[in-house]
Amino acid sequence: MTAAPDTLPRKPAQRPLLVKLVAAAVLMFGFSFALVPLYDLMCDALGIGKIRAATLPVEATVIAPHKLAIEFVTTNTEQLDWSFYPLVKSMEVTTSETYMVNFFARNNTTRTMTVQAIPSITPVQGTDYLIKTQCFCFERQTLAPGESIKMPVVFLIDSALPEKYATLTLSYSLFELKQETAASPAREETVESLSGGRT
Amino acid sequence: MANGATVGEVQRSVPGRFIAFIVRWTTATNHKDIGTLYLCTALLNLFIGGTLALCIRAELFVPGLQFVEPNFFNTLTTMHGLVMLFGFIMPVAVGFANWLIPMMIGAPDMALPRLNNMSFWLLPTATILLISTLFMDGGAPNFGWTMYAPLSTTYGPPSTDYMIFAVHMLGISSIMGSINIITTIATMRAPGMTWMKLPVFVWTWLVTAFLLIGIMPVLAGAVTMMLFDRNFGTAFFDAAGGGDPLLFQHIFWFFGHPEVYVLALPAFGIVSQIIPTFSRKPLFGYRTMVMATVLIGFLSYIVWAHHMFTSGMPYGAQLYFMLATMLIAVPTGMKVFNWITTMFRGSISFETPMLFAIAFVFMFTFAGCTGVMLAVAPADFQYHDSYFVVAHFHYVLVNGLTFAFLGGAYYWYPKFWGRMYSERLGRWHFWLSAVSVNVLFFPQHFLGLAGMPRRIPDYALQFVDFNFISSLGAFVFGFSQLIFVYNLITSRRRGEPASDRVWEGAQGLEWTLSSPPPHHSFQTPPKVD
Repeated sequence: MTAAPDTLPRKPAQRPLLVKLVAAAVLMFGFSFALVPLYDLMCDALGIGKIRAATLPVEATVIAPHKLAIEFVTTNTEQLDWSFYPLVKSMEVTTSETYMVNFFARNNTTRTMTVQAIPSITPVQGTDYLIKTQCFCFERQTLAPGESIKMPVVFLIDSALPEKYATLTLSYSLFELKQETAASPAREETVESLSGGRT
Repeated sequence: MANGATVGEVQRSVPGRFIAFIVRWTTATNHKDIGTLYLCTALLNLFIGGTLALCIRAELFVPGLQFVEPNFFNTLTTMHGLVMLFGFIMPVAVGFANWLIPMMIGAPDMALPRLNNMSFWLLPTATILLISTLFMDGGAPNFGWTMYAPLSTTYGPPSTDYMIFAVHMLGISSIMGSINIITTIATMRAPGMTWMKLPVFVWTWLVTAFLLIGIMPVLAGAVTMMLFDRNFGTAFFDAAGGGDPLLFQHIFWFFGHPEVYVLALPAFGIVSQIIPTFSRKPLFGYRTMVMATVLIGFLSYIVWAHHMFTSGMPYGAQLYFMLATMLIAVPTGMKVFNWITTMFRGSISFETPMLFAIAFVFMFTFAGCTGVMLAVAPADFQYHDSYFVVAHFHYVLVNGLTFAFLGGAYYWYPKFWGRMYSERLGRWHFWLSAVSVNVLFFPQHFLGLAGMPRRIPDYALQFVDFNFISSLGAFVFGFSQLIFVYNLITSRRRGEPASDRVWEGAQGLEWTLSSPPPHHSFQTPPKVD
């Protein structure tokens, strides 16, 4: 503001306006980051990308257990040279009963790596009914080169699962965690499981 | 121009003069100098971006791969978009703002001249950084100017980080420029220059500056998240880490749609100055013009997701964004009616600026109509990512806005430099451009409706004829612009001296100054009745 030569008429006070405008710009920068949680809140509020549990019929009566098939599949993300497969491909289960299955993982590379598995259930409508009480996906796995491990999952299926879902597929994708601090803005269940794994 | 700055530059050696020249322009704080720098940079970038466009049209002249690899074709479309948007059309608007706003409101200079210098010099720095990616290992960014994640994060070339920094710098430059413009308009108006007496160009820039302060930080946030995803192991846009690629599109278009009006509003302002002058009538509906400008600015913030109808939005959201988008046609239509009514029963003469302004009204309205077509969500599922979209936004940006800016360049050229441009060359430039630009972009509507996707280097045989016509138009249009440059350069020395008022019907404070205007536009504030 001192750059204007002396001959110019004095300008009215500009500082309050400047402060407001700079504050507005900084605020909008913050707003762009606020959009990240806002986006999740909107999706939750509008029920986008999730089954709307509230719209399912609520039944007060105890539901009798029934049988269904459950399949296990695994996927390695690209360029991840690990052996990773379920020791049981599929099984017949009864709802409301607890089962344990094991998955096998071996690090085929020449360096120590940390990985984490992310579960998903098909059809997605089954997601809320498959309850994992213990799962290797809650934790990170660090394996030395050539080391292998057997990893358990303990689960049960809620009897409220509609009977038309005769088969559920539990799928795990294995991701490498590039850095120790890779937790970052991971959201939803990932962030819970990571912090749960540490404590 | 440069009345004050050339003092002391009497007898110097050639290197001495060169150094004096560099120092004079790098330390320039005068609003006219900065305006000139912006306009010259914009013109240079227009030709760089135009060369990239001609490479694209050369490749598409005939089917098959002739000149470029498919990946390089993608970098061409990306760089063409980025250079034209951030390097040409935004700076050209800022250039006019710097030149005109102080003169129009009766001020000696911009409010913050040093900030002005910095906000300009960030621009060429960022543009050079952006263009340098073309020569880097792994090639320039190839994911389109929209930088959708994960194309730009997981799969982007290494040069993407340079592009991100360039966008950061451009954003800071725009924000500083906007702060300067708002401060100037708010605090430096001449006595009696009330808000509702401001020329429409000043009003449109006021709204534009507020839009820029609202959206450029959001773009900066989006590219920062990209940078973090690429280098620091975060997962804002990576589903594997709990992020969401769709989030990027929301953040980007929250910036991207108001950006369209950042570009359009100054052009509206320029046309609103030109048409009354050559119709020899005051602008019809000044109040509605101002109201429409503010309304467009507001609406532009709440319609962004019409760019992503096909991303699987809920039905209700599609309905909302469709209707809100169509609502923008109302204030825009008000503006078009006002321009037409201004001309109605006016004593019109068709000098070059008026020709460009009328062409703007005609072709921009056409672009608005295809815009309404695209706003219809179910129809958009067909048009999305096709050449119809390309034709639509090029009608907005080239046939519309670029024509308005060219008209503005002719309109104020005598005022800026004190010499008349060559009217004969101006008309040649106009008619060649107006015909060839339609030959260039009109067939692309048909290509899009027939199903040709955008951003591809090769196409099926049924698209041959229209692509051939389009490429012909592209080369004629591209080379016609050389007439403009020739006219600008030669008229600077050989043109007839211009009077202060220049145009018989010109109204406004800038025409009360001499041509060219003095170094400090208004030493003493003028009286405005």
